[in-house]
Amino acid sequence: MNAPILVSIKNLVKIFYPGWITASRPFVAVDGISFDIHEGEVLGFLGPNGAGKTTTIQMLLGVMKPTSGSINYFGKDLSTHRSEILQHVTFASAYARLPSRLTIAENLDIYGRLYGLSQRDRKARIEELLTLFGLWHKRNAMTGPLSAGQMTRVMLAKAFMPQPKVVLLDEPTASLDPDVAAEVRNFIWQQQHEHKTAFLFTSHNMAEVEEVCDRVLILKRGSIVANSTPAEIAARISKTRLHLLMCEQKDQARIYLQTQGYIFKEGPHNFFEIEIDDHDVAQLLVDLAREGIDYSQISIDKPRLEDYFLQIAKNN
Amino acid sequence: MKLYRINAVFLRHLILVPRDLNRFVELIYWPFMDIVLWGFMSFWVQKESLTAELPLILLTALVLWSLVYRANMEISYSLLDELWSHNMVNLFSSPLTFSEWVVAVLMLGIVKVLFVFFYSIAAIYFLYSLNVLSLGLSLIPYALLLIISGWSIGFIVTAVICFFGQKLQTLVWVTAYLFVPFSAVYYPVSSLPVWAQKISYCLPMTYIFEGMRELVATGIVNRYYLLWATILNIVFCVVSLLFFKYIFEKTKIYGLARLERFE
Repeated sequence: MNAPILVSIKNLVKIFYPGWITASRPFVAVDGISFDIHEGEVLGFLGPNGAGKTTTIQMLLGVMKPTSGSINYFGKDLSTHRSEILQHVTFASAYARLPSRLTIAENLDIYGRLYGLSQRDRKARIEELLTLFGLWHKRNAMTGPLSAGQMTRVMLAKAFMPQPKVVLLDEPTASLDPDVAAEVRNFIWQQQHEHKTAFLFTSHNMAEVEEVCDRVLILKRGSIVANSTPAEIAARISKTRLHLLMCEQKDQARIYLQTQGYIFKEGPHNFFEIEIDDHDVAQLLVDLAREGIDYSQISIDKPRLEDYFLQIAKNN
Repeated sequence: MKLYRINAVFLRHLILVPRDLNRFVELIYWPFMDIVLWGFMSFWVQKESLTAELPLILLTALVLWSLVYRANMEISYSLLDELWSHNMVNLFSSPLTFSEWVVAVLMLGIVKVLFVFFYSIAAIYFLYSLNVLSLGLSLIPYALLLIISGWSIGFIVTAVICFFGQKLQTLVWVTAYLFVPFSAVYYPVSSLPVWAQKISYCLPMTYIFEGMRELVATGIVNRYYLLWATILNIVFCVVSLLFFKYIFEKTKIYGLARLERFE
């Protein structure tokens, strides 16, 4: 990726040592991770529960001190330029809350003030964001009684009150209805392309991660075990599965696949499932046609990120 | 009515008594503090030939003590409110700095303290026809010094809550009261036993309340008391603020998000 690096993490370590607050043995929550986030990039940050995602996000927000390693935003160290950096970095989480006895508009106004927005900008931004997230009619409602989905949308509005350069999103669509979740994804896409906003995005919805993220980091027991595009990561553990329903030449098809060294399974009713690299599918279909092997139905199952994630979780 | 169900509910609450500081404090701390405070006061009232100024002395002491209590409360309560609202991470992941937060809560404290101060004075005037403001402008330095004393206590309490979390939230309400018997709020230091007097003279509030009683009785501001109260206040306030700052940074080792959970 040629875009400038906005966030650079180097050898980040977090160890919880025994003390009054923690358990009796040292616990390595994050074990020397390094990664960058580029301008306009959506980086998926995945891992099973306890992998170290939340700990990392807390360190990236400056609300938890790393044991060692460095966190740089825009070429500046977070530990020495905290306030300056956080002017351009925001976060939203499905699990965070805001003061319950303030209205939605009051809460957003307070956060607008914290980021130094003028009264006119705050007013305009609140209207724009609440309209976008379908909460303008609720602007004078207290945040306390809001549903989880509404609260998540308020948190997202809070995160975008200033025009941030980097946004950390911890399961932003976790409690949203599918249509609202789709709107949020569109909004992220819009921010990414119009404002070149960079995102760190955690989610347990793998289909969403595949849709939204340009690149994915997978964390396991505090270490990064994968760092690539969702498709490339998924392809590591499983190939594309090509399903063909053969017409008559079942035996001919079997012999051809065997001789060509394909891994395949035969099912009932002339059904074949062939494991194949994604980029070889077209060539195989051409070869079958040349051999005079006809099929009446075809379906292609591409490898899924979820398969990889499940394997990681199973071995965790 | 089934005895086993009554027993179940009884046990459900009893088990928590030694585990929950709030419940423990209600059983042990408050009764003991009341006995100490009103005991010393009773002996003083019995021993002294009471003057006509006694109601004014006691009510002025009450108003002035409310400055300490409120100033302390506002700092700790502001932190607790952020914890209860699960707003701590939101707040400190914004550009807001520790110093800015402290100044904001001190400003809030001053506004609320002044409201309580004048509201109490008005209530005393209308209920008892006693004018606390008759002490004149001399009351101003006493009031300011007591607000600073309250801040010192507030910084310490807030630091402790910041480190240990909400399980120690009851300290917000009980800590300041711990200083009442030793600060000679309602009776002179001489009413205390010698060992308690030694503690008493280490506290800035003592000099202020001693000075206040002298002011009511003679109309004279004792500058010696004012000087000592100022020196001790500066020392306590700076040390407690540095302690709070140190603990706030220390608590980031475990993460501020931890504080939002009641554990």
